[in-house]
Amino acid sequence: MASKWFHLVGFVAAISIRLTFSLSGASKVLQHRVEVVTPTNSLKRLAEARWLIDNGMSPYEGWAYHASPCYVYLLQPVIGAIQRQDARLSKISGTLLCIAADLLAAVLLQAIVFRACKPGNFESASGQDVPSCSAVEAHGAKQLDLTSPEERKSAYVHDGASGDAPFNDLAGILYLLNPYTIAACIGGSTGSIDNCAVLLALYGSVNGSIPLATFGLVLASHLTLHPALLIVPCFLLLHQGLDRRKPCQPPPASDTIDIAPRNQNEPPTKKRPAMVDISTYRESRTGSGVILLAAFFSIGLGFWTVALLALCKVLLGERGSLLQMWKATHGFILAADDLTPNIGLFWYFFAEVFDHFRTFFLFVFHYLVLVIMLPPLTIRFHHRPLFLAYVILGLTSIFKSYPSVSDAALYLGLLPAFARELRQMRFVFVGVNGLLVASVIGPVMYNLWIWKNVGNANFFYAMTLVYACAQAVLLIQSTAAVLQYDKSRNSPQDLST
Amino acid sequence: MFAPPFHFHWRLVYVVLSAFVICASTAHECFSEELLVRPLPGGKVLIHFHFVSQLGSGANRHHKLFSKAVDQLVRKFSLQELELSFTQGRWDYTRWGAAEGIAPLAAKPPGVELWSRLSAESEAEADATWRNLTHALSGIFCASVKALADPATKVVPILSFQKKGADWRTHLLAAATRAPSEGEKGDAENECGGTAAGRTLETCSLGAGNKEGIRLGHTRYGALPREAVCTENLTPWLKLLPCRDKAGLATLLERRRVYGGSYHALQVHIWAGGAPAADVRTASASGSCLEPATGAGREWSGDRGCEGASSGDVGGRGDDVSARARGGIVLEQTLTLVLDVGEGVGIPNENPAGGVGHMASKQAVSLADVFGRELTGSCPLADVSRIYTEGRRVDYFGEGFSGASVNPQPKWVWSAEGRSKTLLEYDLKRATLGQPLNVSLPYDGANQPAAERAPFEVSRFVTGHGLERGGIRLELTRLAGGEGKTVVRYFQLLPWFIRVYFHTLRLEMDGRHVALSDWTERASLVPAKDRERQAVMELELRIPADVKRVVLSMEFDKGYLRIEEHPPDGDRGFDLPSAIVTFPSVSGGVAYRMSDGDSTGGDSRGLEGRPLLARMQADLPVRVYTSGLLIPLATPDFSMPYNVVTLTSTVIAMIFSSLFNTLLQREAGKPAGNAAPDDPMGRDPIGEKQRTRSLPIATLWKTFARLWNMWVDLTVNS
Repeated sequence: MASKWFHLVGFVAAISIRLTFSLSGASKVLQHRVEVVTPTNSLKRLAEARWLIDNGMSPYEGWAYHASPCYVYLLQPVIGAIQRQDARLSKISGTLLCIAADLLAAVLLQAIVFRACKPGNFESASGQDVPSCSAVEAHGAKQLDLTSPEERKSAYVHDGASGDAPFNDLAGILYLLNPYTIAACIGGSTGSIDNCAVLLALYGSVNGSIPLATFGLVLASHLTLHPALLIVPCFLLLHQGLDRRKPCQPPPASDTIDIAPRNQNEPPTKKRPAMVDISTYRESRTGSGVILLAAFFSIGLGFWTVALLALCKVLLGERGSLLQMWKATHGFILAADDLTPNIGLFWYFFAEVFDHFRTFFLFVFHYLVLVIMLPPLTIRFHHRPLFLAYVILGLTSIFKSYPSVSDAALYLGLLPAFARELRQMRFVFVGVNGLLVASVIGPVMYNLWIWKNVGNANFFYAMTLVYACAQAVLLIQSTAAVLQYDKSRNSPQDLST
Repeated sequence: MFAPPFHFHWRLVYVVLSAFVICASTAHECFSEELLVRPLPGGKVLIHFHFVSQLGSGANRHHKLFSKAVDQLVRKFSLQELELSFTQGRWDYTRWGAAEGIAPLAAKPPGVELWSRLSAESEAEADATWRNLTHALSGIFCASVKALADPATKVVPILSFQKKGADWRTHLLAAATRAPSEGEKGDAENECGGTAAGRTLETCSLGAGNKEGIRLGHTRYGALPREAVCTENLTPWLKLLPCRDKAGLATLLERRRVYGGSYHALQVHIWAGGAPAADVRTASASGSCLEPATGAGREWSGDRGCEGASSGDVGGRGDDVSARARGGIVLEQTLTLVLDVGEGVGIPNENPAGGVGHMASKQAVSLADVFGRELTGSCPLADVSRIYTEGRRVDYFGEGFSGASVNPQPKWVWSAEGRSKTLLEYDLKRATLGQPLNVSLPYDGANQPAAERAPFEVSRFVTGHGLERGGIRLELTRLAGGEGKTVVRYFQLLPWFIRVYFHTLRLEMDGRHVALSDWTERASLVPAKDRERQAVMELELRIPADVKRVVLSMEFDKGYLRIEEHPPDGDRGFDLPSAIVTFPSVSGGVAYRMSDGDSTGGDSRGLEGRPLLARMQADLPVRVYTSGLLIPLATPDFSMPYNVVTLTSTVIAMIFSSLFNTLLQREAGKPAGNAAPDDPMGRDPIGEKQRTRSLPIATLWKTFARLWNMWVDLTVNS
């Protein structure tokens, strides 16, 4: 277990790495990298927006700005330095801002993961305690009396000892030391702050705080639109608490139903708990509770939305309307009009696709995530809202119109929360190496194409495909592993046969 | 000669008046053809054709001389003013000058430049008119002017081309219109947010009221730097002339010579309706020449006019003229050529008159030499047909120039005020018939007078490399003779895919960074919007007298275009239109005074009937067009849209299908429903994938239905 000192050292190391790189000129290289800076999170565009406002125009008047108006005002000192093109100052202030955002994100992430991995984490929001997972497991295992010692052992190994989530208190440091996070921070983008907002939503949900959760949700959706998909997992988190490992069913008070026939090598009876028995979870909330929660949740969302829009309107003043803001921010994200190369799948596709199919494919791309993927995932992972959030964030990172590495950093940062479940994950090698390859060869290909002018767009395009595939492999395999884990935990008897 | 109390803009009056005066001779239509030849250093000669057609207001739709196409254009699109130029080659400001006489008329940016002021009730209507106008011009001139109809290339200039306020008119492009008087200028500034000195941007409201919109017009500007100019543009241009190229000066236009030169600018300039009339009215108020010459026949009788004006009935006649001018149309067509004559470059000796192909250092060069064709006479339909040759006085009247063989003989000699230039005027209408018409000028290849240049040398270039980003840098270097405090106006268009960051605008004076707002009198910076509009930069800089070098720089990101948005040779790069640097404080007009000549025949000694001279005398703004920029953009692979669509779609399909498959896997592994509880296959967590049994649709459906029921159960019913 990591001590406090260990944490301190980790944080200091993370900060010093950032400062060192930043001061040594790495930010000069990274601040233009398409992997780090996208049209929606660029600090340079922010400075342009500030300039427009200073000159009495709406920040959305020009081609440049596609993020929230709040940034323009909140980040005034940073932008001022950038505008003055005071090289050293802008570099430092941009980095300091990102470091602060990263630290906040790390703390939030640490809190989320710590709570997610804590034994007995699935005490429900209603305060009704459910016996801790480990206790259940231990009890179950004991009761089950697995036939062979090996199997018993394997079951334990598979499960992992309770509380032995190896990364639960390292999540923050892992997030901070993730090369993607570091790159995003040094390059200087608002991506770190966007991540903070998402984590705030999750943190609020995990802690059962409706105001905080809804605030984070509204803020994150306002900033980058896609976190709006997190409404579902956040609601589920508020509704039923953290991820339950399905197998951890409360031990039957005194029954030996399962064991008796097993000893006789008889097939399990129908009495054994159904695999996805809804009744197990329902007790956490009564019907009126759900309705009440939903009401509070929507009130929270509505309140914060109104508050945020009012703030935007106040900030924009007479210069611009909210409709114009929406068109320039969320509309811009949906329409994917800026085809500047990035690490996503959109830019090259929509540069090449025939004009009359553009709208259709745009629809399909968004539809896939929203309608085809979200409901099945929700149905499948309704008992694991945090994992659902992770999958949604992963999908977002792949299917965003302007993704950057900070999006990947966000969902990778959540992985430690599922360390126990993901032990059986397969194709980790493929996925991780895919990410490595894309991260190393991608810039090389980009360099060949854009700067050396010896390659063409396909060089970089191939790397974006690799990046998408690698992320997809990690995502799908983690999904499979969690399902597998749940299944194995759900029917431990099956192991015996 | 008369010396009336001239208004500040009196020179301009001649442009209009001369047209009217000519017009009077043929009722409502008239036509003049003029040619200016000017030697340039470096073995080149500039030839400027200047044709003016005038349609009186009362004319019906049957024209004798005036081009019907232009008339229809004006009527249909409610044009107030229009200027269209087709240019090939680059005007050499260093050697050919920028600040005097013909240069401001002749220098144009490469490609097509169109500028027009339209009467419209609203901006939207003006946009629609502009769109139709560009299409019509495309048809008339066989050019791709219609590309300017794309809203992404349309520009609504705020400072530079806009006629602002009461009578404020810019003099950036509207060369023929008068410069604003000081008072009016002040008004305009107030109206336009006079406190702009401290701000780098002004928000002038563009749309005046409906009536204002009709009266002042809406300005639109567009430039196509890449348009190739060829004979297919010249032929329709010639069709607008009454004699085409069958007679008169236009017969000289031998295509190979025209397009073999270093520079070639074909221009059309139309004034219609109220704009000139206002000037006439101004003129009437100031009591200058009003009386249209009513002399019969083609012979010019210019001894009228001024006397008539002084006879007293000023007001009434002035109104009369302005009323007639209101509906009139003036069509000015010019063609400027810079051709090689020196050292035999490109000029084979094939002229029938036996001229010389090789020019000695001091030699006469004749039109026949230049064009390889002889002039056969003037256009019979023309009211005025004159040729001017320019040079130093000493060349004409010193020794060594044998102008004796010239037919016709030079009739008048004009000298420029304050300059050593001399202009010889030949009247083709007085040429002796039956003799070959030829005009020559002394050409002293090595010893040409230095061209009068703008106060600053202007250069603009792109910085940086690579296809991702870059910068644009404008450098102004003060030239000898350009001392003093100078006001510089900078106008620049940037297509939307050149994503310029205005916050990176930096002004440097003599190597020191200074705040842009401290030195900006007025400015209008309009940021671009993707696929919607171009970025327009208009800055008016005040440059102190002691500053030698001014640098304006900005950064941009290069956009990435869709595959259809690239031109056929996308890898060549994109041309940026020329920027325009104007020096409003420098006057480009040259006042010519008649100094000498054959005074027989009672010809006018003023500028009436000499539209070209009047034009050159008008207070022309000194403009310098920078060279265009070529910016390469990153291109997609043009050969593989299908591959990309299929590859990306495959990846996405794989991602979704495998994710979906994973989600369903467990249900599949589970004994379907309650059947086969002892199925051993379903127990192995790892080996689940090895299950080869395909998922029957029924099972899938059942699974889904169950999941859905659970979901409903969970959320709603509970």
